[in-house]
Amino acid sequence: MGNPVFVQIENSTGRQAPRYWRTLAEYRNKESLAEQSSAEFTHAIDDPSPMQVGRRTVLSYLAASAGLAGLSACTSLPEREIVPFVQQPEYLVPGKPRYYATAMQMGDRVVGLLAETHLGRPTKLEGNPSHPASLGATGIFAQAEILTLWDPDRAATVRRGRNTSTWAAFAIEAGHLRERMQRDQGRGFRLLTGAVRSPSMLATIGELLRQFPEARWHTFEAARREEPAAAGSPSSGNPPVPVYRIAAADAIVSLDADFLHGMPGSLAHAREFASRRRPSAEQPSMNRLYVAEPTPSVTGSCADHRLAARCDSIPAIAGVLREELGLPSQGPAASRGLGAEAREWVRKAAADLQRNRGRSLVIPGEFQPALVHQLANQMNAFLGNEGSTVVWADADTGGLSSEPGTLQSLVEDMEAGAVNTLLILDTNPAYSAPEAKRVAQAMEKVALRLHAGLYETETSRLCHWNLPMAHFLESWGDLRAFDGTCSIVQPTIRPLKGQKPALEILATVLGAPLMTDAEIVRNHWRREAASNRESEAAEFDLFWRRSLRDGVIRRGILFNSEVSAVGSRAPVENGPAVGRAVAPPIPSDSKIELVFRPDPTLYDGRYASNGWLQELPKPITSLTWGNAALISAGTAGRLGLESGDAVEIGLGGRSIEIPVWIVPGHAENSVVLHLGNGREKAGGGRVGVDVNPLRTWGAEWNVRGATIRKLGHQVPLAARQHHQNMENRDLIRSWTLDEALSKEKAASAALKPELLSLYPERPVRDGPQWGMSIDLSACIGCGACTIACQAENNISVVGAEEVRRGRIMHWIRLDTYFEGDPSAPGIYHQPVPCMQCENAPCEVVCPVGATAHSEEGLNQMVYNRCVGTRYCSNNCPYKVRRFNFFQYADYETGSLKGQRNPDVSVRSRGVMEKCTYCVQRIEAAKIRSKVNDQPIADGQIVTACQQVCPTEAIVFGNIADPGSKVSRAKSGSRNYTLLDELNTRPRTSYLACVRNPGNDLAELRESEGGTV
Amino acid sequence: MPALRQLDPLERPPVIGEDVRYEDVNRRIAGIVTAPTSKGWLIGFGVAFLFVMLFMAAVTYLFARGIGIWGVNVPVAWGFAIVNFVWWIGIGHAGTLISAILLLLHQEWRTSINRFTEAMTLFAVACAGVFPILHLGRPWFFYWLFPYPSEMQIWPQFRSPLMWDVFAVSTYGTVSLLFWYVGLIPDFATMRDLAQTRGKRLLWGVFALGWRGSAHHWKQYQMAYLLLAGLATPLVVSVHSIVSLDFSVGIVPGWHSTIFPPYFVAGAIFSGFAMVVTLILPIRHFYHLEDFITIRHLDNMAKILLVTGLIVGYGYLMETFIAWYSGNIFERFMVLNRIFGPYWWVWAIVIFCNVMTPQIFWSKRMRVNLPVLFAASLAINVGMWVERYMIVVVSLHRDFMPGAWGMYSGTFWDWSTLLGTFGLFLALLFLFIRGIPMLSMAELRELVPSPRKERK
Amino acid sequence: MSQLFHPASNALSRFLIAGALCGIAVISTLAYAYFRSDYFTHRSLTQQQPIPFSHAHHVSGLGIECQYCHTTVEVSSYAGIPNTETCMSCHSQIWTNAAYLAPLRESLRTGNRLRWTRVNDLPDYVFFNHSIHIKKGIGCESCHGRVDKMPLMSKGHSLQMGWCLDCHRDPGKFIRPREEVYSMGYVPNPSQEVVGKKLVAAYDAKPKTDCYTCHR
Repeated sequence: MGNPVFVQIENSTGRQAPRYWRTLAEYRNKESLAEQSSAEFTHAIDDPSPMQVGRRTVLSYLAASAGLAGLSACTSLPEREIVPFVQQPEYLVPGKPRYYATAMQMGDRVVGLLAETHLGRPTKLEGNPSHPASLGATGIFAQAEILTLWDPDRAATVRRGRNTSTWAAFAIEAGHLRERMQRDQGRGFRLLTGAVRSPSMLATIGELLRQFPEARWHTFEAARREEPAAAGSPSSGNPPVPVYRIAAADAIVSLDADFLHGMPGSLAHAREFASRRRPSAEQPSMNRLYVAEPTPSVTGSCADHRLAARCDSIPAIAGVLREELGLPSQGPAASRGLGAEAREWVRKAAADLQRNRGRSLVIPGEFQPALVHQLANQMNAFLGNEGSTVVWADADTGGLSSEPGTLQSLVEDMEAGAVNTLLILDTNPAYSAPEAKRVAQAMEKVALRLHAGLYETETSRLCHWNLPMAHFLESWGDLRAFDGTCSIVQPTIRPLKGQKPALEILATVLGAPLMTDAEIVRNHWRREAASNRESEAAEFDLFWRRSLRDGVIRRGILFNSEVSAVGSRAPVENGPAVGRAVAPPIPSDSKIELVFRPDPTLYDGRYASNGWLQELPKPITSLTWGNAALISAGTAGRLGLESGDAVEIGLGGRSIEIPVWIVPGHAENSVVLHLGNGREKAGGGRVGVDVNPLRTWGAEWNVRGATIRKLGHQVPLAARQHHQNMENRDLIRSWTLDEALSKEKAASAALKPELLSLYPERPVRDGPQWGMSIDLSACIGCGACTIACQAENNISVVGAEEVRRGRIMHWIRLDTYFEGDPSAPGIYHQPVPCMQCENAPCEVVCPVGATAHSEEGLNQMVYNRCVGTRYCSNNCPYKVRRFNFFQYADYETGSLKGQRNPDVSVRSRGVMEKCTYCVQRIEAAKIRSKVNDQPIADGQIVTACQQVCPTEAIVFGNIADPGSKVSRAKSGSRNYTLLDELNTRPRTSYLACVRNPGNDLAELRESEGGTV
Repeated sequence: MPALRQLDPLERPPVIGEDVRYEDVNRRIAGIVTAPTSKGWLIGFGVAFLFVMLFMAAVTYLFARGIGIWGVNVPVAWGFAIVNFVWWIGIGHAGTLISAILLLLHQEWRTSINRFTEAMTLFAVACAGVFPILHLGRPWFFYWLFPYPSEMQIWPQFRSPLMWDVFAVSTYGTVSLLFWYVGLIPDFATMRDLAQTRGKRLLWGVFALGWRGSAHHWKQYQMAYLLLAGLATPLVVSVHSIVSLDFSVGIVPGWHSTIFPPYFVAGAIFSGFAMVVTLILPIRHFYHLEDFITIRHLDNMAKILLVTGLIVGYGYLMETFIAWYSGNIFERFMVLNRIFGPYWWVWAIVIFCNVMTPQIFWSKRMRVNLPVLFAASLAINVGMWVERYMIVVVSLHRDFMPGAWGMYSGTFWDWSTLLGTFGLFLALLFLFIRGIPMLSMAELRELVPSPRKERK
Repeated sequence: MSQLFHPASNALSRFLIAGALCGIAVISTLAYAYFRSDYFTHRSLTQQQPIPFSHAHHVSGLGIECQYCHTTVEVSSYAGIPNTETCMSCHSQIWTNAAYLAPLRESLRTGNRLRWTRVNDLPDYVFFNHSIHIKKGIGCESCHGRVDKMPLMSKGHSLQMGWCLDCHRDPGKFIRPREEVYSMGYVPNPSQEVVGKKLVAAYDAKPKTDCYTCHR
């Protein structure tokens, strides 16, 4: 079936579409189960994959006929080669991985990384523990970058128009360009980049602007709201950025801010947040989270008090909250307009904030207008949180005098004909900007257009020159994290197809075509060092080597002050302005609002050709391969819509066709649309629907007054999870803080029936016994574990059609369940890997013994013995086994082979596979310990999912050692195993989820004292 | 004479037509084989053969692309293949029951249908036998299921019911074949003697193994036949019990049940007899065998359908009751989901076809009403297939963790494999009818009413 | 009616039946033997190599230690194949213009790598690790055979799973003192049973037969 990434969403049958409706129906228990399944069987017969007889098919026919004769197993090995080096690189030991510290940027987010390489092939990215924005964890995007590096669809050749060209030719072109610019001071030359977090890049751009004073620089980040950055900044000039100290906050109010998942530093936020969500006898306290947002986000799903609020009502809610806190304000009291629910939520939140002055925090949403940020800053100042839970870091401007211009201003200039040369560095406005068509038309007016990027995009198609840009794992650089910490980006491999790093491309324009990125970065830091203090070369080399090794620049060596100069400054109270702003109009709920957000897995569309991210179920909805318009059950009911129904969403004459998806806990009359889908020029072809046509300047993030028309046909969506109702089964234990702390609950949890097995008890072995504990109280449901596992274990991508058929291959899946009232449900996440049962039902039923138990308690799956009866999967109560129904693993695409982990078999068609607790890591550690005669220390072996988890919710280790972290986790009263009545005795156990809604009466009393 | 007979209540009506003479038996039964090929047969065989071709196509594509061309997924990792397997094995049972058990019970009415049903058994087992291999993810390693001294020094896992299947089914196939063949020997001899050309005589002769019909031969023959019957009898029970263990050893709600073995065996005989009726009515009609396969046969078979149908119904009832009685939430949900869940229609069909339909056989009029009998037998065949669909698919699609629940539906290739095996089965049957005396002449001759009666 | 068959046909039929039974037995025996034969396992089969490298000459002739070329055998899963420069460290001095070393010099000059054909090869789903076997006192000879007697390299053993298990189930039969690991033609003294038992205890050699030990 070729490369499964290339599966289009269009050519698919109408199966599985209305599943989700069942769930809601079961909440309400109105329709009978029978009706709910009406549309399931409109199609009895359909061919899962149209017969394409290509070369592979023919070959496989031959293979099959050989197979019939039972020959396949009897043929002995093919002849293979050994190709030793001519000159062995130093330190390189074949068969042993090497790690390099580096860092990546996505939008405004910067994460420090460690890149694992095998014989010079980068195969996996891990977080850099000493980097403040990572702390050892990574998000889903960092995990997926490794696939982007090896993506066969990356731009590979220099193009001039349609024709292929060369770097030399470009250098000449750049020469001409420079001559002209020297004549006219660079008038009409414009540089358009994404967010720049790289000091050397800033310096280089600064150099450019110095040399050509008339040239201008613009930045454009598709998934960033421009004004808030400046909003409510303590001082004018370059605005500092707020850094939140989540761990210090006892009460957190998020005004539509997805600070656990969707913000710079969210990994750190998540770590700190979770550190306050694990109540125990020693530490009985817990923070409390209030979230008001239009649709459930990762952060919202962890809230103790969540308010489903229209995006455009957030400013009003902020205003009311401010009022409730008792800040002076003018104008009418805002609270009158709010609904009862909202007022209740605000009152609770205000009370909590009051109670925890100095230990509370109000976080404004990135996509909220400046007003909300101002209000939030004022509230934090008023509550005395400045310096304790929120501090201000300097935004690095690289000593540039002026702020970069916006895309909008660039477009206006282009339309005015003031631009004759446009150099675009890896940003794609012709697709992702509001009024993208207008951008494209404006670009036509520019005489010379150059584009450098990882991919050929909608924008690159409009350019005269296309310059293939090197991936960050192929180039030198440096990056500045959310708190100001800098890291050096070092390459792990030469550009696969001779692409060039952005720095070198700029250098070429600047007239130094032979300057390498390494030199540029090194020189920049040498200058930095020199500027701070006289330093000898030796001292600098030491500093440089250390910085490379640590992945974090320890300024101590050369610089007196930490660059993360996080100082506290009270924001200037520009009262009256805000005073007036306090009472923004309460929006009339009757009008339908559209809310635009970056896609949870594709971001702004830059990852559209990344199969891992396309297939990663999106948090909450579990949708893969495409997007939908998210709406509430109420709105759907009123419009007569079911999940999967195609609708036409119209706004001011523009319209799109898109399926809807009903989300419990979604705000009424609000439609959330995700950017980044429906890319034309992306590896897999068009997947999902591009919602950009509905966006205009000034209404980029939310707009009121849309119309929705039902089109009457269904669009099959590829959801991973079809049933999000727990059916009153004891799958996720959720307690309130009081319950968690009270003895009887602990006792009842500990109480277990006596379980007997017909099979003889396994003898207790000496040596380690592996086990895992997953803390549901810490899990925020971000899905990083799923994709990290995919990267570590060579898990195949199967494509939309196969996902729709229920054949997704992820070894660790994330189940999300809703509980209670669909308009304000409790939302719970549960990562489900293999339970490694001690009485494993799968083991007894395999006729060829392809799955057997190891001495160390692992439930072993032997791919090369498996004949594929699939009985084990049927008999697995947790359904964690995955089957290769087709030849999913791509044996053909060379560059994809580069990514694979050499320590894990690549599974062939017809075999079962499942989570192994990353046995390759276990075995490697065991061998290392034996060869070096050192015992394996606790925590020395980490599974991929554990390593990536931002909240450290997953703990793995030796349960035979009572002192180990995992044993201690399992000894707590929150510990329980899944379906233990089946006596499977899982080695993977869970810690009950604890929520902290608090005791209302007590609070109200206090709040009455507090406010007034 | 009829008056006379009525006076004697103890005498039951003869098994075969009253005016049948010895020579008629040979003439009319052997005649079917020796007569020139009829157009009807050609058409029938042609159609069946087309389906065989469809089967081959489906299998080739399956081996080329992989199991994914079927509708199976996770959670429903077993689909049509297993359903078909269980169904076909079940069909076979009637044959063994009739030939073995009824023989031991001296039910002489069996004689006119045993040959035919044994053949049916054989072909059904052949159809069933392919599925365990087809449904493998890597069918070319099917031989790993057999215990043989491999260089890897590892053996199959004898705790797995799939392992037991291998033995159960292969034994069943072998014994059925032997039984069938031994029964055929005297008839092969008859054919040899009737044959006109030397070539045919040689051909039949080889199969007849030099049968001369001597008393010594008859003695040996009777003994062998009896022994085989004894050997086959436990198989009637064992085979489908083992097959049922494929499910009841699993922990899936709807599978994990101790009632399975008896209720599977009953179901097997139920479906088997239904199939016998379905096939025998047309043949009886087209080949004018009313004298040999009399109303009494059909009446008896209808009674057996009624009895086994009741047992199956009891099985359903018990499953439901125990689910409630056990208080196990998963069992309870499984039953509710069967009846009210997305696959409610499966349950409805099962109840209608397997429980309600046979109830009409309480009335003699219905039992001997051929159209009704035929329709009912068809319904039961369908019902029993759907029952297996219910057990395999409906139990799997919603088991323990709602987060992993899914749906299943057969694809084009699933259906073509099923229809393909119909083709295979019918094609073999046609060849059998044409090539081999389909009723046991030797045994029927014993049943011919003795002329002495006439003289009275 | 004349006799249809000659009386001899009785004997014939009996013979056929007996023959069929014997045939099955014979065929399965042959199959059993075939899949263990050198013909099938390629044991002691020499491959076409770019340079007719002789272990016999370098090991027994010159007495070069195994690790001189296979440098990572003690630290990594992979024993390591000498790079061109390693060979040239001697051959830049001796046999500098031997015809059969031309590919080597060629490789150094052009930077093109030598392409040897694998002799001891395992399937991709087998994860063998040299370092641990060396550490636990399993001699090179135990798996690779008497390479010092191989003018051209060939497999010393079948390297089939059963063969691996022989040792993993009872390492005592093959284990040797660490200092003897690299030596060829080592003779246990007093006897393998005695030495084996001692060394297994001393080196804590408890090889596992769990699937994951080799298959991941």
